[in-house]
Amino acid sequence: MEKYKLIQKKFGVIIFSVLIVLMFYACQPLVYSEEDIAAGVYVKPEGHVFTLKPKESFEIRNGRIVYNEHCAPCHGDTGKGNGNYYASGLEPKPRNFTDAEFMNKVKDDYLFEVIWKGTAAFGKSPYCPPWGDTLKEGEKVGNIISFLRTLAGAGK
Amino acid sequence: MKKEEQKSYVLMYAICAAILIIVQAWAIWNEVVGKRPWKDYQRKFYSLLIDNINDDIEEEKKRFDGPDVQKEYQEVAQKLEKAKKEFKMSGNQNEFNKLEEAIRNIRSKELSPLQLQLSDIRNRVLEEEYLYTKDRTEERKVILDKLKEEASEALSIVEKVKARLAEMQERKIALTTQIEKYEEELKPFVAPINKLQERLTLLTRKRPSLQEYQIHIPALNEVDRCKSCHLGIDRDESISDKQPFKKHPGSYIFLKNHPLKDFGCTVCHEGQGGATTSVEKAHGEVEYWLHPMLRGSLAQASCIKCHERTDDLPGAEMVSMGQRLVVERGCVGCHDVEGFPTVKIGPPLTFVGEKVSYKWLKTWLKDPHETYEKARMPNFMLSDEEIENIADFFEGLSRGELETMIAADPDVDEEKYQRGMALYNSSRCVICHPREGRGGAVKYVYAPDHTKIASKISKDWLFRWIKNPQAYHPDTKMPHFRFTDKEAEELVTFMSAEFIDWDAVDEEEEEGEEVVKAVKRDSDPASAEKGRELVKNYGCYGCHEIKGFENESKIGVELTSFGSKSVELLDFGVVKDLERSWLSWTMAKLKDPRQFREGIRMPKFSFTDEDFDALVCLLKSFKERTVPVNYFVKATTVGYEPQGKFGKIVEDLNCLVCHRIKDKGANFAPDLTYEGSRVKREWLEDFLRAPDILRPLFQQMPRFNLSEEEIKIVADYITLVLVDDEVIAREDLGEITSDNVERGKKIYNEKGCQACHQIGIEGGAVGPNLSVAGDRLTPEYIYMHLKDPQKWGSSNVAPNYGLDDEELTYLTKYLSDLRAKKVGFLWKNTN
Repeated sequence: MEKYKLIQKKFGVIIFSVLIVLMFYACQPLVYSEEDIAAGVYVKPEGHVFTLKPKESFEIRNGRIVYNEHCAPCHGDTGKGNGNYYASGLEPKPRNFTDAEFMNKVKDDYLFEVIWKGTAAFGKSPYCPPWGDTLKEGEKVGNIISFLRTLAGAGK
Repeated sequence: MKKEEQKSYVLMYAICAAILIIVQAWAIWNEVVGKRPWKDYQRKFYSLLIDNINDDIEEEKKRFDGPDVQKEYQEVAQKLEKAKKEFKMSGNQNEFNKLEEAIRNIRSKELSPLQLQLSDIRNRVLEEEYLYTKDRTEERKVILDKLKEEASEALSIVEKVKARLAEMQERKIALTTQIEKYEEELKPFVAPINKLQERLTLLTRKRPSLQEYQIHIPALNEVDRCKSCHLGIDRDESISDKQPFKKHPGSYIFLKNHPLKDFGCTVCHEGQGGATTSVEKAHGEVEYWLHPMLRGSLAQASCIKCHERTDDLPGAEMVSMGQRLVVERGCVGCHDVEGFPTVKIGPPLTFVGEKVSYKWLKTWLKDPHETYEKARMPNFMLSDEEIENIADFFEGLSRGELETMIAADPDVDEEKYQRGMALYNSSRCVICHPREGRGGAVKYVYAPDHTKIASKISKDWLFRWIKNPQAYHPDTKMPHFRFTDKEAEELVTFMSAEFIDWDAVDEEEEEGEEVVKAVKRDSDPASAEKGRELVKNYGCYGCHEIKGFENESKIGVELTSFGSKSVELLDFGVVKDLERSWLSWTMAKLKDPRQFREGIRMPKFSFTDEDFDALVCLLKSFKERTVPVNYFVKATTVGYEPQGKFGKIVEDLNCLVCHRIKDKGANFAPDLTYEGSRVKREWLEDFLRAPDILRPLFQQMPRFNLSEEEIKIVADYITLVLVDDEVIAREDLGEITSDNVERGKKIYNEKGCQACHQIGIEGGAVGPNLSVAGDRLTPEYIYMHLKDPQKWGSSNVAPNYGLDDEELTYLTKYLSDLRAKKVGFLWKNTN
């Protein structure tokens, strides 16, 4: 009888420890980091995975929106300086932003100032107005510049 | 076996103690490091910040060492050196020292004893004065007076010494003015570096404490600790391009209008704001967390939680595009969504048999995009038999009232053709209807391409349509041009000769006239009955008005809370190789709706990638709103409807397809909300009679052939109702004289207005033609527009030049002076 009880106790201990171990496993969070995926611990389902990651940063997308609204009428959607509505007699012609040579030369600070204060403030023709009071936000102008930087690379 | 007392338990105790220590050590490590990965990010952030400042210092130094700056700096430094030398050489140094010595001497040896004496006398005076008030005798008065005299004497001596001292000070300063001036001049050269260095020492001397940042907003029931890792999120400049150190992009839209302390992060981005133990947990990208983070533009799905209107809302472009698409592409025809109107976007089909040729109908049903790539109708992927059935069904519905031959006819009366062409051009059909892919400038208005239209529709139907489109399709966006029968006939003649599908003509020769040209034919009743079932099954009546289907309900599932559907509830069906996520499923469903299993009825739409993204974004936003009422942003003006006779004309001409009045309508053409304050009545009436060329042809209003009575109604309504009290007559503008007109003209040219505006034939065409601005616009409006074109203007392109009052006045006068007779412009005043 005594012996039987002892066995029962031992059995209980074993079951208890097994349960503890199982609980440990059950508590494991199902979190897989990029490293886990790289190491093959977690295999993502194969096949097509759709994501909605924008191909461009917010700065460039927003820059394009502002550019299309305020700049594209003269400078053109593609930045070649041939907007739909530019006056045929406009002399000098609107700047061609796809000209890589020019775009590499100018600094962001300079572009910012020209957009903000207008070309007339830099001794050029008065045709490009000062946009500072219209755009109001420096960041908006910064976004336009981010967008302009993509034009030179794209349209060689 | 040993006795109990002889046993040693040392080893066991040692092992247990070791385990205990290890566990404790682990617990402490886990508490301090393991569960707080953000500490690492904060450390990295501060080291990056220090690096950045160091870089700035380097750059400043480089700038400072640059030849130009160095040259200037050296110049000033040399001057300073020279001044110092001169100061020493010319004996000024000795004098300076002497003066300093003298000043010190006078201060300590003369001034201070004197001042002591003075204060002593003053105290005695006070004492005597007190005694005198107690005991008013002559004796005491004499003593008091004497003392007072003594005091004033002592004061004058002190004053004298002070004056001497001041004079000496001045001389001392005069000796060093040169040096001090140059020293001042040198400061700006090194100031930026010093400032940066100060910041750096502040940062390095006292290391910023690592801490958890928490935003608690009880109203939204959220606790966000995102800033613990994203330390730089609300800075003005990014210190690094990498997350989590970047600043929030577009903060002038987002953070400025939604301050972190009032909104937090998860109200827009979702995710698990309170989690700090791992990146995945915090972003909610773990199993069973129902709201994974909305990254990038997907966060726009949250705009709708608070904003009632998202069109024109900067930063919400994607979701507002989605909102538009859901209605415009007919999603609401099959799916119910709370808050979206049920509109039938397609034309009524009951009598389509009288409108189009049988053959065309079948080609169209096969794949609408094959016929017209911009077609809104999706591809239902019908079999040939099904197509036949549906076409038969519609043929059976026709009344046979109309002449059944299609319009295409190359042999027409030349004179009629020419007149029709003129009418076609002056009615500016091409603004909405593309021709060979060109034209169709009005965004978001779907109008069929005219290129092959004559081979599609019947001649009689075209005539009736041109006469009054709303008789056939009450919800059409086409305006009711008031054409006479003769004009309509001329137009039909022109169109039937001009817009022929020559491929169809070739076929005609091959297959015989009957097949191609016939509009109505006798249909097989059995086949038509099958067609009827198909129409019901595919829910064609969701987008088209069809007789006999008025009481059918929508065939698709309701989408009101689709955005919060968990992945388990989505039917992946036979598709095994798709990522098990809401985003992937939704995207896959939109791209190929029927891939999941057989029997799905949803057709395939021709969306662009951008459209797909916008729709997914919108679908994500379809969930219960949980924000408190004070977070709602209501639309400013709601529910404007043009009233009375004017309202009828607006509806008839579909003015609001292009124009906007009080936030209702589109913004293709000028906003008419305050048109009455803007334009002069005579011009308005003339313009309605015969629209003058103001803008490029693709934007120019067509001639609607309104009657005089209608013109009066429109002009009355505009001048009486569509006015703004802020635009008031301004007498202070004064008389227009040739002198100030000239000055205004000078300003006009100096500012480069001609880049966008045309006067006569010179200038650009971004803005309206100003040749007759004086006839067209009221001076007070011109003034207001020039002052703030963003507020007072029909488009927000116009730049604000920040003109001062004087410039504004002159420019206003110049523009008011631009009248028809002066510019020599042919101001046509027809009728």
